[in-house]
Amino acid sequence: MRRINPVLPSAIINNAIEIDFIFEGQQFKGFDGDTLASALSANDVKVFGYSYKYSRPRGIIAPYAEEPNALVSLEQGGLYTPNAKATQVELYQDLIASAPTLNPNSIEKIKPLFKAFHRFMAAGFYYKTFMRPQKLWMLYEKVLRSFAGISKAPVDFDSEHYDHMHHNCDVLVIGGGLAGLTAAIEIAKTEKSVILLDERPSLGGTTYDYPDEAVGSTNQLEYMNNIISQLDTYPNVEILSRTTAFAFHDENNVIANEMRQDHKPLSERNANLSRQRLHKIKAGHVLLATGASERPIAFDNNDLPGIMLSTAGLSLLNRFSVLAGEQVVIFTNNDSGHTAANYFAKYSQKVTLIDTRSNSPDVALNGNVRLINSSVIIKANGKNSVSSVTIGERDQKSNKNVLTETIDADLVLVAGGFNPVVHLDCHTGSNPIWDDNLVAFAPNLSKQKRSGTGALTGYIYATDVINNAKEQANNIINNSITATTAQKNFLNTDKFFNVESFGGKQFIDMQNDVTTSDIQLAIRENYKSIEHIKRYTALGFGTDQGKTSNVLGVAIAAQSQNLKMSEVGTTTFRPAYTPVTFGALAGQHINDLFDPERYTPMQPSHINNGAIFETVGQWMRPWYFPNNGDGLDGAVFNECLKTRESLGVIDASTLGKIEIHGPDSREFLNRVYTNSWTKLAVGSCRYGLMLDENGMIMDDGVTACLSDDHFIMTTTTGGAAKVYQWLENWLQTEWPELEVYLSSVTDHFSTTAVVGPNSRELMLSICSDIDFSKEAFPFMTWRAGTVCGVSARVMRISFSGELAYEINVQSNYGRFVWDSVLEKGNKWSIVQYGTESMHVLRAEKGYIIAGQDTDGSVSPIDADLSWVVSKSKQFSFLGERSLSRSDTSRVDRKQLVGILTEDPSEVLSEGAQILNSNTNSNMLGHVTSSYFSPTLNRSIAMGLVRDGLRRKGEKIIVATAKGKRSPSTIESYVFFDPDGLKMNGNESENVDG
Amino acid sequence: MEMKVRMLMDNLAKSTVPVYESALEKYNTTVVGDLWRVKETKKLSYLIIRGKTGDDDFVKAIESLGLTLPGPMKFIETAERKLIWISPDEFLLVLGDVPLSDFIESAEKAFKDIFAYIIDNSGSFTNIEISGSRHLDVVAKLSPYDYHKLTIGSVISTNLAKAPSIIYRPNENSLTILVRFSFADYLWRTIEKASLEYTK
Amino acid sequence: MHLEEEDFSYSGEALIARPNNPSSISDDEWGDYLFMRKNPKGRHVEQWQHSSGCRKFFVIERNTIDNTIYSSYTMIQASKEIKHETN
Repeated sequence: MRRINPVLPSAIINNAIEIDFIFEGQQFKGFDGDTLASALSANDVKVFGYSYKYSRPRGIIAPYAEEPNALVSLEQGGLYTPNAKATQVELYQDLIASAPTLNPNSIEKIKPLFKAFHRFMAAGFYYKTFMRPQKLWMLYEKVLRSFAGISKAPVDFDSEHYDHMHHNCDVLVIGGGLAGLTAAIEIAKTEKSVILLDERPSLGGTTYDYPDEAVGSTNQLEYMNNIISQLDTYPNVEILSRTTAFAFHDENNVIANEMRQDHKPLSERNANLSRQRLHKIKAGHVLLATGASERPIAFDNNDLPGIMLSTAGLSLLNRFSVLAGEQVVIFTNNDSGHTAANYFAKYSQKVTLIDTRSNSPDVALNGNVRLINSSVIIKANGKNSVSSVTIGERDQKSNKNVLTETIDADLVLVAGGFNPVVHLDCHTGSNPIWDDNLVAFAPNLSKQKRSGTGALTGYIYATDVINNAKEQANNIINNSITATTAQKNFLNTDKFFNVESFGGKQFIDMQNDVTTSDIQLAIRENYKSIEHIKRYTALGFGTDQGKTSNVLGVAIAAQSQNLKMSEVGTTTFRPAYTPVTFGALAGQHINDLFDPERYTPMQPSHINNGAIFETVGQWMRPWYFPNNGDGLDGAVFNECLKTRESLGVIDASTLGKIEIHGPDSREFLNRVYTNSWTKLAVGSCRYGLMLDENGMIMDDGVTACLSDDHFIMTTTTGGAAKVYQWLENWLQTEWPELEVYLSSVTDHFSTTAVVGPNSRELMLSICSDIDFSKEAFPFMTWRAGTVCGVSARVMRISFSGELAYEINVQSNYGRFVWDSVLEKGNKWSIVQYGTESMHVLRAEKGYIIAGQDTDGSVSPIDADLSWVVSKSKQFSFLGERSLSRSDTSRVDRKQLVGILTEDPSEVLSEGAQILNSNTNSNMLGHVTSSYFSPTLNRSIAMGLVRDGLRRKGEKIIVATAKGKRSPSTIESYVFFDPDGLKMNGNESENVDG
Repeated sequence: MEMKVRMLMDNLAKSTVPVYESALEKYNTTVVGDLWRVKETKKLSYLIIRGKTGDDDFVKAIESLGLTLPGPMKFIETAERKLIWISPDEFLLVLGDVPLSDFIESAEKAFKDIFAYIIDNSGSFTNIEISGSRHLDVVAKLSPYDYHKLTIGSVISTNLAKAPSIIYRPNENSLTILVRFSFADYLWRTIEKASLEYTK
Repeated sequence: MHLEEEDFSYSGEALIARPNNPSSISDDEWGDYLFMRKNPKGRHVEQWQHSSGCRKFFVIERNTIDNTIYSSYTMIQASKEIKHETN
């Protein structure tokens, strides 16, 4: 293989700019415009790797994205890119690439030793290792795993970034070849907005492979370049090159990935730009101009390096000025082989054209082309690359082949016909249709506002393409329909897919080493459906996704079962058309931007004060405040003790808050909560328990009465959105007659909760217009006033069992109030506490946390909260009916109880199983909450236990999967201050008030 | 990509008067440039007005407050007050830094005997105006809508990236984003990253 | 401007009326109300909420196979214009 100088006129390389690069540790030179494949080919590199199963040498066989063999790893560290196709890698200065299966130090040395076992490694062998003998499976796995794959998976974080962009356009043209460009310019003239995508660096598609083809008085290359320069002048046209449309979803939603910087030298990459961009395009109409890709003909030893598709050879020649061989043999079943022969005849020493057909087209062949009709290649010969082919005459009647001669060849071009690139059209659920005229699967194109043009629909020659493209453009402009799929077999393609085997290996899928006999074996083993054949043999599984192998596989399946191509059909086409890196799919949604981190107004102070955070839903909440460098346990110990002894403060801003307005507010609350709200006085608050219609606890919180037609409900932090949607659903869909408005004010209020025996003292020091005396401000009431100079609503509610006040102010003043409270609170040694201490304090008092102690299967009876459930409300509140369902009212349901370990220092694991005894392993329940209680100086836990409420005092065993067994006792879950004395005047709840 | 170091902020207890902070206090939210510009407006008041569009009493009450009800997905500006349509029975009133109690009192009076209410929601929103020749490209990274088609006086409630936002077009050259307080930091960092290629 | 599907949330079969007198019906009938849904392959009358927008619930008739939307209604319109089954 060599570079032709002077460079061909059609070539896209610039030989004035030389590029240095490294491949497999060796220095090479190429030119600006080269791909890695073309540059290496120019340097006579033929072998790119050794195959997965049989470790056979492999080289390039396809022109572009269809390439199955030449996979390379690029760069290293955070820039490492695995499994890039050398035919697609744009060469840049100082590029570093390696072919992972060429490395002599790797498993590749060992693979050839398996040659003796190859006959046992036919299709399905891996699957069979799962079956017997079972004991050896792990051994097989370790060995076989090391064989699999090509590039190693990356281990470093991707150091580049990716983004997404949305587009809306009138017409999306997918494919920037002659057809796409011709159609685009026609549409552009009408001022419709047009987006044109093409996967290659420059527009033109396969025009470059056949540049001399005539169009009027010029050639198609010149004609096309003319259109490109015109297109640039239209402001309503956006052209995205290096952009592959890889998914076509309903309603003309197309997703495409653009390689913005992969082609740039590392030193020139701009860190402010994304490396790749995912374009999400919504189009009024989609015109598919995706072209057709060549398929091979299979014959024995067809995988030797130097054997490739004719378009691969033409691409190297006409695009990159690389001559892939001097003694060229072209094996064809259609007219394009003759065209290819004429191109090569200009530069190669000898060209032999083997045509399966008895009649040839009226294409004048260059003088030094030797044409042999009615013949086939029986087998290719050579060691690490092809050196000759043995051909045979094809007996049309018996279809047997008679060996005739052996021809020297250092390049074999196989021209087996063209497959329209139907993939995108199939993503929305239609299958392609076998077309006997095209001798290929044609696109269905039956969906609305979608059409196809060019080679995709069977138009091959330039003038035909141009006419068809103009016609399709007019259809889009005028909203008309004309027939798309070509009626003529333009290339006179012979329905010939593979030569009968003479005992050698005949490869269909190169990347997975799937042979003709593998497919025949699958069928003999009764895996007859093409979907089964695919999975049994791994045909089409590789990174090339079967682009050069699937149709051949269908043909062999059809032959073996005496079926038509249409009867075998194709496997389902799914996105992505070509591989897409995960980074592009994630876009900007990674690391700290993966999901919103919601902050309260106090966040900067929490950071200043060294809080350790935990995520609660989307919120970042202080988990604990390390005290003198201690960890969680030490911090919690300090926070809980100091709060119960004197004064603590917690940021409770994350709770959901919903304003309820309207004359029917009380009725609404009566319907959605278990208890009664009819008589709740203005200025008072009440705990509310919310059930789903299954009678299970859904959420809970305190709701305050601001006036007869105005309440403010709080929900749990994690349940806010769900509850809001639930309430709106009932109000709008079931009770539209109720005059109620629900408005979310979660973000409007910040909440500073001051907790502990000195909380009243603290409040007095920061608020002078509220009477904090026990009589004037009882438990479960609220008062309005001014705190730290800010208008505030203060609620006397408690989740800790201590005297406590929650200060609600507008968010923008929240941090000021928080900092002020901390400052003033120093007088009473105020301690900040986080969610962990909050959990402990409430557990000590037996307050449930919906979502921790409940899991959607816990009713209020189960949770020992019957006192919150009214028996006398007129309207059957949500969930009430289900409480009397036979299963919900069962006596042996799991019920929430307290659990105390025999060893007070032992803290049970949340989720640990509860058993009756060491010998009986039937699970009675599990631990829902577990902590070390600083107040009681021992561990406490809550759990759900079958029939728990009647088993108080009984002994149980708490067990973990690792084998731990903790003897414990079932107790009440109110561990501390059961009479509520610390609340300082705690009146009992009156549910029916 | 380098994570910007967030500046440690002052302890506000030092102040004797209440200190107002926006959700983006730690950032410099004024960005200038040809391609990309941002401006945060702080200290605005945001009031929710509930009432049914088809209810004549409500319409009269609104007019008595010197406001006009906008149609679906529209907003109307009168004397520096923006009334934004949120739903058939919800409107968002944006006022400047004015004492609210008077206005709320007159609204409560106007709504007294009808099924309509006014709610102070001023703490809920962060206000960011974006402009510059590439501002629509930045938004295109965050939302699938064609914001070219959002005409002056129009508004949409949707998500920008994953942040619930209200976006309206006050003039030819810019868009205003209202994002909830707790999502503002996330949205700011998202927008920063998205606009990086358009800032010098 | 059309609105994007991602701004909406699906909310199940539409017009399922809550029994007026739950305490008078059997567990089976209550169970039907809670769980039994038509789940058709084809035209389906269902609820959606404009969850990222105006937060209103509304009703559409949609084809579950190809997502064709035949008609849409506000909740009030739907309850008047579409015949529904009460339990």
